[in-house]
Amino acid sequence: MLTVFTFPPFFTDYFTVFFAILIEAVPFITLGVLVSGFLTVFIRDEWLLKLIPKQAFFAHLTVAFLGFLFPVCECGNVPVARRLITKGLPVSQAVTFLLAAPVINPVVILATYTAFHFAPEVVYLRVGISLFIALTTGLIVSRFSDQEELLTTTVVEQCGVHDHFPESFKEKIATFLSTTRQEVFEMTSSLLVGAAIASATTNLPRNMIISIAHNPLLAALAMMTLALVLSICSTVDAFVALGYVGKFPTSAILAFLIFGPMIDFRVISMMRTTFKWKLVLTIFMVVAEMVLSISILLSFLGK
Amino acid sequence: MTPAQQQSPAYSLSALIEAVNITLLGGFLLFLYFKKSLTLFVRPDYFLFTLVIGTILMVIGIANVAIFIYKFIQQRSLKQKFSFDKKTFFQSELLLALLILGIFMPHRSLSANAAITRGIDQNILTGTSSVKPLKLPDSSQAYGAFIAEKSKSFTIADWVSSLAVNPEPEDYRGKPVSIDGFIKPNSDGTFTVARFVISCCAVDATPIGLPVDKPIGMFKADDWVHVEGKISIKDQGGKRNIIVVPDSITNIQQPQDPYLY
Repeated sequence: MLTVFTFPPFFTDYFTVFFAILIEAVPFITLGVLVSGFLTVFIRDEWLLKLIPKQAFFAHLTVAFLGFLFPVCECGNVPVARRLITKGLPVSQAVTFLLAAPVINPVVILATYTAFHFAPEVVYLRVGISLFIALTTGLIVSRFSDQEELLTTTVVEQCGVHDHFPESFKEKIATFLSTTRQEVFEMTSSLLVGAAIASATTNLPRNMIISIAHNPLLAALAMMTLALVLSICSTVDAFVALGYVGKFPTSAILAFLIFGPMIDFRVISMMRTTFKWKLVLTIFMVVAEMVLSISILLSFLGK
Repeated sequence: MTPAQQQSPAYSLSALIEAVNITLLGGFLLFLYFKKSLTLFVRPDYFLFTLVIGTILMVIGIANVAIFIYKFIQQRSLKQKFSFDKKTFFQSELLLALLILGIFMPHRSLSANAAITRGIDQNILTGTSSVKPLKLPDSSQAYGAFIAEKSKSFTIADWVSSLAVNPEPEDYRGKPVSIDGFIKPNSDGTFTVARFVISCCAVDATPIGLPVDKPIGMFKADDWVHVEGKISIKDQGGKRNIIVVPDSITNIQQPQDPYLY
């Protein structure tokens, strides 16, 4: 043991917070990956697509709840959306799915409730507002005339190409084990960087950030920028957000919890594998404006 | 083609790296659980969850290592080269470095320094905290009797939640105090006996404490102490605050569970 050294307190505090995030987050990441891995090997995409109604609003609404079948966060959902598009899901519905699924799924709701059990309204508002924004953005995109133009050329080429669905039980087990391995590893690795930055900012002296935190616009912008930079999975961002409770108003914490799962640097780079810049920027602008306005509105309502 | 080749051409070395990392990650969670170090990081409610997931991660990791070895033996005769991915390598180096640090660094609860930067918040109940509110009697007479009777068993969290219900310092004058906490030095040379309240994990730890009317003397920041004394009132910038006048201050071991919930 390294007890022979005396570590300065800011150093041990930093690591205590860092490992607290890691220890709290890894079980939820794993739970999400396990459930979605299980469903991926047992449910065919074609069955899902048949469930979606024809009428535009109800189609978007149904798609928004598909997260219950894929309870992984934003990074895990882009490949799912991409696969569904190649099998015929309209682009606008894929957008709604991408924006809604990271929050509207059982694991994220459970994790958010775990973190904010002392303030359950955070959970309701997070889910409700995310649903509203995801639906609105998807419906806006559905009005674009050139749906196919929004996709990168590689995705268009892939349309009609089917990937392999594991048929035998042995194959299912093998696929399940390898996807869970890849996803837990990938998500934990990306969590490390976000948690490292987050532990540094949550240990900032309170009076350093108080002037920002008292202005509802600046507070929301600061928390949204933080979400953009941290790029943490939605399964665990609630635990990170806890570090700002009491320093930032609830309206700004909610801006973090709603904006982060929809847009961050990692999601943008992943969306770019499927969508053209035009669509990615449209999503970014529409979502950012809505989150910011709703956050300011909430702060006027006393949240 | 052999059946093995059809199943997985060029099995990637990254798969082995990932599998080993996941086994160790699960092992790390189990290590903290059995070393009883989890109390320093998260609420006791999550210990079981952490234990279960740690075990599952180890099973998934070991199963993947086994699959890799199985495929390796099958494909050895084919003289196939393993593909390898630099990104996975660096990610795994980072994770391993942190896990090693997490195992060998002394595990500490949050320090007095963190209490100072985070700011002692006496109004913790008016914020969004999880301190269980005390069941307090309504009438002020009954309240006085209640405090007189119970105050000796109050933790720091009980004191803070009682003050949130009834902030009038006079109602507490002369009441006996018996609390455990760590020393947080104050700028005027005295100190506060403090604890962290956590609602989920160390990320949201909020410091609370009662100021003690005595120079810090031979005690240092982060020493754990048991303080016996009585409540008095002190004028601080025109505001009357309660303060503990100590009869005795004794060094104690840091409790197994340093946080209040």
